[in-house]
Amino acid sequence: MLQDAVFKEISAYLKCQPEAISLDTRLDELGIDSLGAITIMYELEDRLDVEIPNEAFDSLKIVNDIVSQLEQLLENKKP
Amino acid sequence: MPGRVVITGLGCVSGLGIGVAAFWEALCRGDSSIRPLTGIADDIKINMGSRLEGFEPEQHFTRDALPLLDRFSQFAILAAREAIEDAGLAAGGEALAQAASVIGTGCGGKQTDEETYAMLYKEQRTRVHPLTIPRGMPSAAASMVSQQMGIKGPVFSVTSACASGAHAIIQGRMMIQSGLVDVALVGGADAPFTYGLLKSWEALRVVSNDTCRPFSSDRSGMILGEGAGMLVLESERHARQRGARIHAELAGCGMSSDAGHITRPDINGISRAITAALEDAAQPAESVDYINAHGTGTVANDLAETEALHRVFGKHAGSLGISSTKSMHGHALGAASALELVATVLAVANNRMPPTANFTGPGEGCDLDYVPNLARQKQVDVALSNAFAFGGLNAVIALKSWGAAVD
Repeated sequence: MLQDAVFKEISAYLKCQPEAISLDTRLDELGIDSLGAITIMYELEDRLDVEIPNEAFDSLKIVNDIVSQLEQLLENKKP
Repeated sequence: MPGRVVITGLGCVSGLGIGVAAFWEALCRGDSSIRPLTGIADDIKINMGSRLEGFEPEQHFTRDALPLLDRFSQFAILAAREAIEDAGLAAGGEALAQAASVIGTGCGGKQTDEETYAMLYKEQRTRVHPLTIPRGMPSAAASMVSQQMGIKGPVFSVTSACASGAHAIIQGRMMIQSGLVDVALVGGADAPFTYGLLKSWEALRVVSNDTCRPFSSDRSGMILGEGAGMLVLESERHARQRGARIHAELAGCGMSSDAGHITRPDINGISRAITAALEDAAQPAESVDYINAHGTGTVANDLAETEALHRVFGKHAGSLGISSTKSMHGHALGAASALELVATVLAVANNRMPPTANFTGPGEGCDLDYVPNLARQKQVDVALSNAFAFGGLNAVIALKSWGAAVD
């Protein structure tokens, strides 16, 4: 499931348990700065074979923003 | 007239191990860390090197820190930690917050760059890791040392191939002399055992296929090394105020450029740098006891360096103790002159000249005293450390023993 993949990647980056993360948690509250977000997204892009446009990074405020962004990209990929 | 600049802290990492104690003990024993190179690639003709074997970065850095640390930055931080502790300063303390740091590197984060290029060019991947730039940039070591030690004054890198460390050290001294800072952490770091760099050195045909025998008749070239050397420099006033132990005075510096051939050393350029260091230190040539030579083990360098020493020192050349410690730690490129200045400081502080290891007998035109194979206990009041880089960039540093300086 996409949400699990996102939680797993964030928890791997933060070295915390996935349970510590929820969809409405703010990324900055988790200590994820812009470089951190880029690093997490790099791993997710690789795993899901999608490419997040640069301008989308500015709108990533909470965990659910990442999930939504990836959902949309995966949807667009469908034939 | 600018005040004195003194050396209060030393740190190093090299093929001889981690830490100044391991470094100095091996140098004094004449132990060489030059070993067969394995595990890089089968098609590399360079088969010997001085590598830090068995290094486990996880033992020295947190998992959080490692993604930003190229191998050369790791070496720089380890050496910086030791130098700062040796100086009795505290990471994150007020003295370092006001301090400068200048770190020389000849190669920068080549491990990071080459891994990235292999992904793109060889594996045909289209994306690279987001930390590639901050991890691999030549100034990465300076930035990471600054972050980890809390150094908040002027911090930057300099690069001049094999003289990078010496030029960095000289920058630190100049900033102290100018009154800009009281403390500077300076040195050099490099980690050149990467596939692309080894192939490039191979192409230049200056690397020996057995070992480094500076000044010997059967010398067959240089041997690459890796590591970092770091020194804490302070104004004499600052060091005295806080009661710091002083290893030696950094008494003079000389720099010159050959403005000639890209790889062939030039006796005129070398001589001008040595002379400038002596003049800056206000020391007559006859006062020099020991010289840590550039001594790469190439036919061209060792002959040119010997001829330049004859020119500058005249009759006194025969009285000098001259050694190339590259015979033991290899040529660590941008780190070399910093490691060698650490060795020179220890020679001055301990009145002990480390030897030229692997010496088999003097080469043609190499007719000076190269302290062959055995360390020598002898008064060392004034010493020089030579660095002559490819591209004709020369830097020489003069040290004075603290006992002699305050007499």
